[in-house]
Amino acid sequence: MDRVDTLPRPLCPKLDLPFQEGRGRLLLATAWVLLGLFIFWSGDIILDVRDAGIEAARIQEVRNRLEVLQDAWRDMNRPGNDVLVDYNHVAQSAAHGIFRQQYLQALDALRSVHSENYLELKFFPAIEALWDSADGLTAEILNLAEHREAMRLGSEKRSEVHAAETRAAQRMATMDQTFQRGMDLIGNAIRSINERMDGLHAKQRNHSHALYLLLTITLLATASTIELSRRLMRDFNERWRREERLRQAAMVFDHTGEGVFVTDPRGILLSANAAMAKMAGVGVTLLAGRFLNEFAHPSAGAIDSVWQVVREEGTWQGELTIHGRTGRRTLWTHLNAVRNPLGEVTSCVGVTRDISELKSSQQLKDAFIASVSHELRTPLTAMNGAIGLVVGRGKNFSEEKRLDLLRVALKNGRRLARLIDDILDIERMESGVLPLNRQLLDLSAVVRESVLLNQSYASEYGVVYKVDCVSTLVRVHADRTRLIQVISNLLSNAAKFSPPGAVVSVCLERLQDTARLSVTDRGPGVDPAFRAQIFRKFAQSDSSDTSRQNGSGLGLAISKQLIEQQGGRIGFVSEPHVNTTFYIELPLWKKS
Amino acid sequence: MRDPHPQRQAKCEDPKLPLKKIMVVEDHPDIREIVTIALGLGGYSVQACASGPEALETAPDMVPQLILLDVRMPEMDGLQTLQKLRMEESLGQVLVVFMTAKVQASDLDDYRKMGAADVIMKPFDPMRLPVIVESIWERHHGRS
Repeated sequence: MDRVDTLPRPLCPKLDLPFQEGRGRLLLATAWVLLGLFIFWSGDIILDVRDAGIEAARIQEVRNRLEVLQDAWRDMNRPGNDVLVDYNHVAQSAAHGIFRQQYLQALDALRSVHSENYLELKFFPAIEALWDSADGLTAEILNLAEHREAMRLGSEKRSEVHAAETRAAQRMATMDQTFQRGMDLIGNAIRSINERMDGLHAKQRNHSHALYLLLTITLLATASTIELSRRLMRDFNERWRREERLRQAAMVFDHTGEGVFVTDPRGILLSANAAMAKMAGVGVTLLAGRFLNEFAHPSAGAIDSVWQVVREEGTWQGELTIHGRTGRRTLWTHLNAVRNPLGEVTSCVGVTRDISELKSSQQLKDAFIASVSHELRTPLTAMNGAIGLVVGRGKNFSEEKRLDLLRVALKNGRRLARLIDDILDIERMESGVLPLNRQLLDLSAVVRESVLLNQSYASEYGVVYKVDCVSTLVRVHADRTRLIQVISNLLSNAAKFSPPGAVVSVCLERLQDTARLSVTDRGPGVDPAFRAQIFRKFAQSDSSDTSRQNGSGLGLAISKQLIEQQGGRIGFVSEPHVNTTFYIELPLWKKS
Repeated sequence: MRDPHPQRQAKCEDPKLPLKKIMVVEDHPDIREIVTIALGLGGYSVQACASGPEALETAPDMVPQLILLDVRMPEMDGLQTLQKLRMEESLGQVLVVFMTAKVQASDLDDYRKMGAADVIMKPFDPMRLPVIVESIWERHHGRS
């Protein structure tokens, strides 16, 4: 539904968020990405630290083995030197056995360390060489021992033994060199392993610090991200609620049956809803920017005082009259001032309800009550007066005069009774509580009966009813009593308005699917000025002066209602002073 | 009914005189008759008229001291009749009392604005009518 907006919509203020929605989302996404990176990085570092730990443990193992090997080597070398002194080949052989054992263990340890970096083992050939040398030395020593044994037994010469000793000593010297080199290599390896382990420990330490830092950052980032999300969610909810409120307000504005409008303090319309536009009888867009004063009355001066009241007291309620395209509408209007924090009136909100119908029906009702009161008082005045005179000053009057006065009282009393009946009928019909006892009737019989009933009344006016044409068996579905009431009303009216000696013709015809009863008189007819309102309540033509006293002014109104309630219609054709025909038409009864 | 004392016409404008001549303008024949009888019994000479035009025709000759005027009448209602009566030079000051069943607050205001001396509400007690009329006369032309 369209709405008039000449200013920024006052119902939709800018959202008061800490950041605009797009930026908020971007910030939140960045926060989550960073958090992910931190967690990933932390994981990487944790793995690194763990790997370094494992490697350090392995290298430690290698170093331990190498140290054991070094010791075993020294152990083996010592007996080797001793051998050269006392030729203790047994000790040499035992030392060799121990070394061999240690060597195999160290070799196993080295193999079990799968760190290729350290298993290229530059010292490995040296160990091999040592092994070979140790083997050679052992062989030489054993050989020397055999030679010495042979010489002791006398089977060998000293010179041969000496040659063996020399060879052993040479081998021993070579062995020393090899030992020295092997020890250096192993020492280097151990040193490099120590360095490597120091490096690993340092790395582990540094990484641990980094890890602690990273974990702290990650924790903080997580907390902030969660807080950010919470706030964003809260703002979003808040905004959604606000928008929902606005949507509902707009819905009320657009769809309420009450007219709602907003004006500036001078009364210029800023915005109005469809209901308001409908009341004003113009399109919504035509209302914008116009002075309420253009539509609303009372006069400009009075509406100025209305604005005065709104500005000073903040609220005003009352009736405004709008002259829109649909005519004059009465609007019950509440005006409420909207103030800024300084207390100045910035705009004015109006809610208005069209009470035109209510008012006109109230006016009709008031008019009816006024008429009823007047109509009842008139015969009552005559009746009371006549009786009052007889009672008060009866003895001043002749018998004849007294009787005259009493007749006047009786006549007016009857009229009063008839009026009350008619008023009750009208009232019941208008409230929709007049019961109709509809049944299958022969209209011709009802007409004949009505004519009979009114004969004496007609004769008072010297009028004769003449039933011209009556179709027999004209069947209708109607309330017999009420039908007689309506026909009697037409017959008595005809008699009343006929000149003395005149004939009133009654005719009942059967048309296509309706029965039509016409009552024709030769009276003055219906004044053209009066025709439009002849069926209205208390409508009596003023020119029919002489007969006015005898009617309630309700007969035709009641007849019209009764006939229409039974699906028929009532009407008249009048040619003044020639003839006037009042007719009623009722639907013929059908078997279905 | 005709004024039985035409010789007093010249003096009737003197407000000090006692009330004698009353005109009744009422379209309802029964009420007209009752008012006429009631005032007649009170010793006034009464001229009854059935409509405004009839009253306008009769009044200048009669010059009544007080006119009882119905409001709802055909052709010319009481207010119009009063307006026309006031235009007659001889009737400019005559007391006019509305006698009506149309007595809502707004109607009463109208009557006073039109310059009615008083309003007698229908229904009224015919036996008290002379007293009421006399008191209205006293109030407006009382011997002080």
